[in-house]
Amino acid sequence: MSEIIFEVEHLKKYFGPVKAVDDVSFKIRKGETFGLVGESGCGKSTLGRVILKLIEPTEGKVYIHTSLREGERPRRYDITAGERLRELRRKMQIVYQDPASSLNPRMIIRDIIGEPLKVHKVAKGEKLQDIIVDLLKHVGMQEEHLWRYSYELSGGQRQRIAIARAIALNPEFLVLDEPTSALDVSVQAKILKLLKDLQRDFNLTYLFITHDMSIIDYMCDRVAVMYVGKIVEISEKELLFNEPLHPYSKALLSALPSKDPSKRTLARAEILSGEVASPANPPAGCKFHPRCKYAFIECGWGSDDLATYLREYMGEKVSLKAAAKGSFHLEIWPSAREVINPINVMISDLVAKGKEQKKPLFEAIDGLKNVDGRIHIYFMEKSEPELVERVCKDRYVACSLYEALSDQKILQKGIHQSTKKGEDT
Amino acid sequence: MTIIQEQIPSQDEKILVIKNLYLNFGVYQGTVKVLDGIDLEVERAEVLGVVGETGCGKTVTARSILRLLEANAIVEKGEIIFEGGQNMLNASEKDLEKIRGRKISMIFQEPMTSLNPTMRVGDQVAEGLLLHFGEDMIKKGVELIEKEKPPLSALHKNILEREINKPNSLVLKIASRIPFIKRYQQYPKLAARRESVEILRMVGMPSPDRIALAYPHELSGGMRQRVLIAMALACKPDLIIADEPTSAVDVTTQAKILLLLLNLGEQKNTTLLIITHNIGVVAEICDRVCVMYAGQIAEVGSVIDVINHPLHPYTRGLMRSIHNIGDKSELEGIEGNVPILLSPPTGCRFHPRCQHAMSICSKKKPELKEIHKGHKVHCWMYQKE
Repeated sequence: MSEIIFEVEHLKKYFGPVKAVDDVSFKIRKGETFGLVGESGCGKSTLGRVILKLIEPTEGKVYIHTSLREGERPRRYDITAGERLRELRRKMQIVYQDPASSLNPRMIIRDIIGEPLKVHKVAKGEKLQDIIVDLLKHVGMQEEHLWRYSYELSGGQRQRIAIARAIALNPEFLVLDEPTSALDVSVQAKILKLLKDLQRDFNLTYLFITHDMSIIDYMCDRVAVMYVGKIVEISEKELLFNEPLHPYSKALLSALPSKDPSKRTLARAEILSGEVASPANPPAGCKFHPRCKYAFIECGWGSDDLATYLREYMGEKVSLKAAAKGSFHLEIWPSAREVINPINVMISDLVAKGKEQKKPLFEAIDGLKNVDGRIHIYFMEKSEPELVERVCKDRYVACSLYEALSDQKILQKGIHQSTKKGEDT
Repeated sequence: MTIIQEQIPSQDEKILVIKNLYLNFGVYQGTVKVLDGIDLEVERAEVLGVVGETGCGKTVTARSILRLLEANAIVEKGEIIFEGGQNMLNASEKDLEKIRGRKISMIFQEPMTSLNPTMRVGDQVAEGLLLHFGEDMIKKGVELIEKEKPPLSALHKNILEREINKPNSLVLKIASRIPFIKRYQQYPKLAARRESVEILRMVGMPSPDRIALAYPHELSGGMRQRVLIAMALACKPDLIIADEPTSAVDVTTQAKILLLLLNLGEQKNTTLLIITHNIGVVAEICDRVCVMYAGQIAEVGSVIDVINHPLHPYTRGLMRSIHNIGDKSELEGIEGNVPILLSPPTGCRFHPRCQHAMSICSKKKPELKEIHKGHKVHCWMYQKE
């Protein structure tokens, strides 16, 4: 097992009430490609920027293991504290999604690639030019491109320039933020291949951020799956694709269209109900549970779930008030417009029926009180599941389904059987 | 739904035929030769995919069917025949209005920008119903009055019945200006709005009665896309053109929308023309596929033929640029860049990037030749001069 190069510990980034990145921890090993996958708005791009301190984190630590001088023994530097940050920038770089907006339109290619070299006083004059030409050749471009502006180049060529700029200072660690999603497939293939070649030649470590599972499969060694600001699963790529543990990873993989028309998979795709939770006011407990088909009593049901249910089935008949978003306490009273009598009987009937049908939402209700014609409903309090190592080494999952199960049991039965209980309820 | 009477499908198998379509865009620098002899036949009740990379002319082809092109578009020559009858390129604006939405409808690319931000979602869906099924909506309005007996019901009913018999009578013109009495107009709208709730329900919208009252900005991307689909389906068209229906949504939502499109196509016997750059989408839901490159059709055939046994060098390159999960082989991509269509390559437009290019390729355009049943290729490798 090779050494750790990058460490992220309990990292948080809040934009006001929006929890873009919410308590994320992972480690990246030297020479690997670590994939970060998730749907739009899950916080993956923010995470990519926060770990390089391009955005100030709200809380948490990020470390890089490197040596700043040649011959020096590698040690751990604290990026979040800004320890020798300027020198550390040479060791970590980023390639952005849209090459049209990440390259300065008023600079020629020579200056774009040369800028980091000048800033860090690596070379100047003719030597600088030689280095730039060399870099251009590494990314598959020619010397003649030195004098062009970025708008004269095609999308693929621009992305090559962005990559050349990123590797100019001989970094060890590169964040690739959707580097190919703005490109056509035939160009995308070329860029991915280039990135693989560079990784081999320069011994680079990548954090590859993407929403495309097939790119993850092509590029990565290990993968972290993100959902609404949280990492829900970290796993070796093969293990994840063969047997995803977290229900969200499972849904993500099953929704992937097959590229072989003789083996269509769409009919078997797991269709998620509902919409992605808002990171500004996420549901209580596990953020995925309102959409999860394996959800059971332990998932952290709260006021939001019951409120959604009541609005769906009772419409405007009742007024609701939750103590706070994502809380475990809900207050219900008859709305002024309609008189339903007596509300306490109705609600307790509903709850009793729900419990009888073994609906997890109602099973999780702990107490029901009637105070002055208002019904107070209390849920069992349950915190969000932690990302814990399960089944085998380096496999992490954050899901309550596995909390009660031994590793042996999960392995023996596989996810489908081991979560059977969840499915029944 | 009861408003729409069953249509008698015409005997013609081909619902749409595009013949030898040449289309240019006039720009400051000259003319951009966007479409270079497009030949395409769409069969009734099939799902046809059109794939290609950015700028290959797939969206322009689709928009030219409904004549939704920008002012600088010039059709040089060609025909677009719909249901064996009219040439869409010569049709008058009045005829087009009858076809758009009713016979052919379109699902546009950007769910963010193609909905009206100042109109409630339900009203936007109802708009097409009121336009194409105005009379049905009036009848429904009369039913509504009979059922709910609102104030002035007898009078309003009377006026609406007149409207069915004599749509342009003087009485109506006067009635539509008198306060209280002019409220008869709201009943057809109300009926259409109720109908739109049903259509929203059909596209799998959760609690459609509430969503119908929402404005587009209140909905997520996937829900907006479903509203667009509902609008396209409202008048039960024969042909639905979906322009990149899933490129703005995430994979889990994509699966939802694809399943929806597929089921609707099967149930209603509707023909679907799907324009996309995503081979996965084509492989999952299309019966036939047409590959376009730089304004020319490279290859047409059944999905299995084209994707699993591609013939055209471009299609082959495309397939080698896509990674299949679990596949260990390296990606290759295609050398070179897409040509600039201000001065496109002569002959086959792919020849500057083609590994198999011969001298003839730059001189003369090959035919779209049928190699075996239904599988046509536009390449000199498979034909002689």
